[in-house]
Amino acid sequence: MQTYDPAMSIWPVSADRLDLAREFKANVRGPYSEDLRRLLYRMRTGPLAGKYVLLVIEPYRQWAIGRLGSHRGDPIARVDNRVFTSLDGAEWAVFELRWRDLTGQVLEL
Amino acid sequence: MTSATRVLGYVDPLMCGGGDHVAVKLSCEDIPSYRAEIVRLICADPDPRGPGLRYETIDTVARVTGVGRRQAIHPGSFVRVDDSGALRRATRFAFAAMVFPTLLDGRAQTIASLWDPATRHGYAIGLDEAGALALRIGDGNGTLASLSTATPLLARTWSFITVRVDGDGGRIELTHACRAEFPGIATMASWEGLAGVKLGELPAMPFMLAAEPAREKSGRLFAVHAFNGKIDRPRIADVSIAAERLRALVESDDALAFGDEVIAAWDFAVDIPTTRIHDCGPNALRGTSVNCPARGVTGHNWDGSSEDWRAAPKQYGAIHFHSDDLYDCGWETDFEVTLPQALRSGFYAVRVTAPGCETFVPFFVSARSGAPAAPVAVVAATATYLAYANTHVKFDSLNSENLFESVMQVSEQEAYLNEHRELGYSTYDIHADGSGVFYSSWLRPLLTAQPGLYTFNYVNDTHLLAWLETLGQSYDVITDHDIHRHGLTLLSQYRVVITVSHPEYFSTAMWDALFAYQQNGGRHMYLGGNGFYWRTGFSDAFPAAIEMRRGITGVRTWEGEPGESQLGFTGEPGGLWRSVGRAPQQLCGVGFSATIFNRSTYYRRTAQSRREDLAFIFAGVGEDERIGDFGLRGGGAAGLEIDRWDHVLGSPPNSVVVATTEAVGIGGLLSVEEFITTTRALDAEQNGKVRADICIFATPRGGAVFSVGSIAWPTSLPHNGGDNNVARITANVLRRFLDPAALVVAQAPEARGEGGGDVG
Repeated sequence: MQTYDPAMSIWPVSADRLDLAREFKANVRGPYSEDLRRLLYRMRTGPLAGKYVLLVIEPYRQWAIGRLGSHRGDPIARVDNRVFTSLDGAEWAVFELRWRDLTGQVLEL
Repeated sequence: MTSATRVLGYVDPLMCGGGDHVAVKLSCEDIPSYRAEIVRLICADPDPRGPGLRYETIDTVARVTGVGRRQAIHPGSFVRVDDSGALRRATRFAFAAMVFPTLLDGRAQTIASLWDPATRHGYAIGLDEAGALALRIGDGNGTLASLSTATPLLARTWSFITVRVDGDGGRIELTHACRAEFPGIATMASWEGLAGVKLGELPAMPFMLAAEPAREKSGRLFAVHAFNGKIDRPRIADVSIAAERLRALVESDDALAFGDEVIAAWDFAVDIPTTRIHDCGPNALRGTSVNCPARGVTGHNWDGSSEDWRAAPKQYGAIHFHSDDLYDCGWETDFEVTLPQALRSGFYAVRVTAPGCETFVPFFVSARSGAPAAPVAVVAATATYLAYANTHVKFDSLNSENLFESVMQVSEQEAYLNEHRELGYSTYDIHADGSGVFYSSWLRPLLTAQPGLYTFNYVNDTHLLAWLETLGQSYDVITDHDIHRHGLTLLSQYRVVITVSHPEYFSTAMWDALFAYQQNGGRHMYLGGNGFYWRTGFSDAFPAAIEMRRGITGVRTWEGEPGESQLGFTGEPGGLWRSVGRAPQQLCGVGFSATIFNRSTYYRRTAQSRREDLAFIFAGVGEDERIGDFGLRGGGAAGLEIDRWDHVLGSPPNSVVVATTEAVGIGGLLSVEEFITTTRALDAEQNGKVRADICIFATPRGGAVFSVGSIAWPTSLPHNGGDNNVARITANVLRRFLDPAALVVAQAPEARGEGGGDVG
């Protein structure tokens, strides 16, 4: 049977590609340039352990960033106390976290 | 925030009619008392951009005040043999089976047991925490032994296991042998010795396969240490049986030929569609399956010569058990409701409230067959709602975020589902062992089929109800299950039948009924997308469940195992309707082409739409208007999942495409069965198959079909207070379809097909 595997996403992420971060920040919902699509695919393709999600704090109004646990069914833990009042803002904040996780560098534009 | 999960419940039966008695079963977390009332849902979508959550309380049913209590759920499938007399006397025995463990996760799991947890008397054969074959044996007087080969079985590999027990204090022997050898890896092991346990007459407990018993405080028996994996041909023989004879007994289909040596020889290939477990040995130790394990699955001897368990039953002698299977929570009833005889049909719920809590426990009231109250029937897609019930895809599937092109939003109910796996799975999920979920039942809380943030089918469908009410159009609600049961007799009562946003799961009886309805003058409006896609199984043995097998093509969140595409409930080939010669295009003119989850788009009229005979569709709609460039799902009427017209796949030759999508964009991605060889051109910027078509055609005896080919269509209806071109077109067609005058659609199709397919 087919199974999902994080190895299906291997595009190398470079901390030098601040142009892609700027593009995403300016246009969170796309459409995106080809390289930004590759970067997003890399960011979004797991692994499930520690994957970021948005926890709905108040429907349609407030979200917080959570992370899946290391095992299926573990509680989703909030990563910090930030509460976002726009989905785009929350999406951008997850992008920043993933940038840091993948490049080892804090994203500063 | 008000909690929707501190009270959970289900209504039995989920689908009922006026005059029926229904049982309401609740579980409350730290809630001393609750209030409950019956409501009819008009719009189940709390999205503030739409009509909002709307319901009416049914005053003719008395409100209930009750005391909250917690009720447990015990998932895990197993077999129980209640009349275990011959097994209780068999204190000197040999157990053997072929096993295929699928999850060795450090948890002990039981393969066979006759065990009293209170007295610790009896035996439990299984895998220990290390995954090694193990035996626990106790005399009920404090003497207990735990024995193990200490060598793990290999996951996803068949092994032959034997356990010999001389329960008079004699020799114990455990062996396992992997079917294949892998140099450097232990593939066989054994343990032999004395346990010093005298079993005496075994306890009056059911014998279990794939689990062992435990008891609630109330005395209710349930199963623990449930096994994950397949068991094939379990046998129990007298301890004196020789090793080669025991192996032969497992392989044999004629247990009686082994005479007195045999005590039990269960054949799971018999009665696959049922809960019955057949014993072909001399004692007829019949069992019952609990919590719907997967049957009709390949056994240790499956050789690929047939994919059909009906044609090669001897190769389908296994059951795949899962520790997280769930068919029936088995909760006690908190209160019963007698529905008024004259209660109108609809989407209903028991609204349960307590301070800080509000939960809608869904059920459906159908119009009675023979007593329609309106000329229009709206089909509640109950098979689809079940297929998606309690989906865990947002947090269990690696690819979800790619599919939806955004970080997954997890609501309170979804976070609850993540942590409370005991609520069971949707057919989109995988079990803990990675295998796909075949079955979904309504004898459990259904957190995705109620008002809330999960909108994909149930909630979206209610936008049509809200719109019809605004329009003042009377309608009946009937369910998928009603169509399955009553067929054309039910449908033919209605001048118009509307299938809504996502009627994806259809049984053969449903498909036949809808087709017969169309062919006999019925008027069918298909106001959705990706409909009529998966062949679905219903069962008299499991009336609360549906079954589906994902097979090897189609947009799937998991892939079936080879040889396991045949429905266990019916024996029919499962998977896509398209794969069995009934592409959705045959029924509706359009069929699934693409997903488009990042944003939705609009349609533009085709040249054909300007024909005089079709003018009624577009009354009040300009020739060059964008149709549906608005809506609650992605901002357009064409989105989420979309369907296209294709004469090769069976769109009727007299069908006419009257509108098609524009600007689908790169988010529109071709479905898996729509391309044959790999290509980079899978998106709508490059691939013209990624589109939604609106089509119409006449059917015999004055019938007609109108299809929009998009899940997002109904959620565009409320835009601008209902004053919009999606609503106008829907109303135009509905009005015309209600008019008994025969519909004349001239036969002048604009063949916009692609000709010979997409492979050179």
